[in-house]
Amino acid sequence: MIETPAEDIEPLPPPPRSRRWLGKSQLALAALVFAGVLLSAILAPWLAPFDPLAISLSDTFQPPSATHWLGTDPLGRDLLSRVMHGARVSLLISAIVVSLAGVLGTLLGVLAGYVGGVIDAVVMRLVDMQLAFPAVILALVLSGAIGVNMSNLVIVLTLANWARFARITRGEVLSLKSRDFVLLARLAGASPGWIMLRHIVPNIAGTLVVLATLDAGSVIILEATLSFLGLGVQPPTPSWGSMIAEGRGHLSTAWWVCVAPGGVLILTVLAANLLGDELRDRINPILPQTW
Amino acid sequence: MLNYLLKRLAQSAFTVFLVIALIFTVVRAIGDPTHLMLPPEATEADRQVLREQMGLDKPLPVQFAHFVAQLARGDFGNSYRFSRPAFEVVLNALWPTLLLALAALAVAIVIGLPLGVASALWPQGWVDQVGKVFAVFGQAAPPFFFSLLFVKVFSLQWGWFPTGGYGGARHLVLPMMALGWYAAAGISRLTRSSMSSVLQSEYVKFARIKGVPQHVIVFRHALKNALLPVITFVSLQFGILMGGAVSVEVVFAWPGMGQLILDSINNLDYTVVQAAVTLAAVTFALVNLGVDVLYALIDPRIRYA
Repeated sequence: MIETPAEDIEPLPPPPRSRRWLGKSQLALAALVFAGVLLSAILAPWLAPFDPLAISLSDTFQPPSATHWLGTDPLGRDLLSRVMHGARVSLLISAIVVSLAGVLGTLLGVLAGYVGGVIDAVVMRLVDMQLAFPAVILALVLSGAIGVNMSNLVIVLTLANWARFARITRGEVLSLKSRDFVLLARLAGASPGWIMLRHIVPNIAGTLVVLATLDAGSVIILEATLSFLGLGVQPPTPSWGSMIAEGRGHLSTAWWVCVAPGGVLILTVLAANLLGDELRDRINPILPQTW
Repeated sequence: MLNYLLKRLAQSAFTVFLVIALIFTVVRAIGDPTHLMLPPEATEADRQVLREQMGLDKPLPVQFAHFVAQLARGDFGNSYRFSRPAFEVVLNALWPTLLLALAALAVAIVIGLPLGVASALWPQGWVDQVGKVFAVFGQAAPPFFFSLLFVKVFSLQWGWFPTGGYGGARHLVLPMMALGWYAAAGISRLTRSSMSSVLQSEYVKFARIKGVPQHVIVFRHALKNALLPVITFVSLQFGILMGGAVSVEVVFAWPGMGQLILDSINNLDYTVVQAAVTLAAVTFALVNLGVDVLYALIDPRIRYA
């Protein structure tokens, strides 16, 4: 009989909670902020106190007050209303971009991982190229090339964001490929297309949701950067980036013109990032934390 | 090791070639530069002559072959706007951008690394708490917005630093902080998670059991392994910093690549756009190559894989 010196074995330490960043209340706050921004974006036409485009030259540069909660801009337009309508534009663009980039990246990633060979080599070189190259510069050159408007902005942002999806999806597919259920499906005579669609994709769906949430923040930032540089959403249509650009010249006298859209931008991205982190911890904790 | 090096070199060369081909195509689509080069009253016939002189009437593949042949000789053509070699124009702007990106990276490492290590050593301690807030904000704010806030507070309000321009060290402080914060946030988070998982590993426990002092464990045993993912991350950050530099340069009127590319696109000066992007691509490829080699040197498992 083997004696087990039970008292000598230390109990296993609890699994590292180092990835856990937030208590429940902080997480709830993040969810609340995100939901709030989302709701006010959707309901902007009904909730906004003023017309976001209504110029009123007698009300220029009003500091935040009871009438104008976030103040007014150089043309006397109500900033709260503009920030709300800006959220509509910025969030809609980001949602479309994340979906498009997600679909494109997943498609290429699954193909590369499952089919392998030349397709894999080509896709991975494209991914390398895209990841090695700063998205802003790519977007700058592209939007210079194809012109500046809303649909081109979506194209540019999509092209700058698909590669992360492709790289991570490919890795997941490589490990799924040799699993029994895939081998069995193949034995049963399922076509590659069927296997990819019905057996591989459902198994990476969770990862895709995490990636999409984590990507949302950086797409919002990239959209704002391009709009700030004048290569995205064009005035007078309000978007957070172009509104910050409008306030740039008035920093010393009317800081709120910049800070109102910028502050909301930060809060939104912050909430999206925190929610993405939490989702990652729950769904697929081995995904890289920052990429 | 030699095999590995050659393979990586070939990969980098191919990536650069892809970027060059892509940029060539995209830049041709930007517009017809003859509108800019000739006075508005020039006739269509004049433009046609100029197009022929510049070889713009030839089919794209021929233009591309010509372009690559020129590149091989280090000739990017002349800038239409400055009537100087485009390469020269770009080199003049490359240094300020490199300086800004490297300074920001240095800031990020100097702040992010110790912060990450300290957070991992004392999880939930006050350093960890401060680090969280620092990181969460750094990753949520676009660098151009930090730039504007810094200008408002540190130059307009308190007058500590100039609001913009390129010059002495004082001009560098605000842009490098604004740009470096984002990278510092990422580095501190990654160092924290990497370090804390290494600290949980068997070999660190074993070193503890042997009675190795804490500072030796942290700096000699754990940090070396914890740094591997951080190095990869830092190399990716360099590209992101060069990109982020664009908007920061615009805020601070910093005469770098971002400004140059933006102005050149607006002025249809496409030889400069081409040269700038090619040079940027080569720089990134070299940095990535360097990091991979460094990685292989540090971690023998990669070399032989």
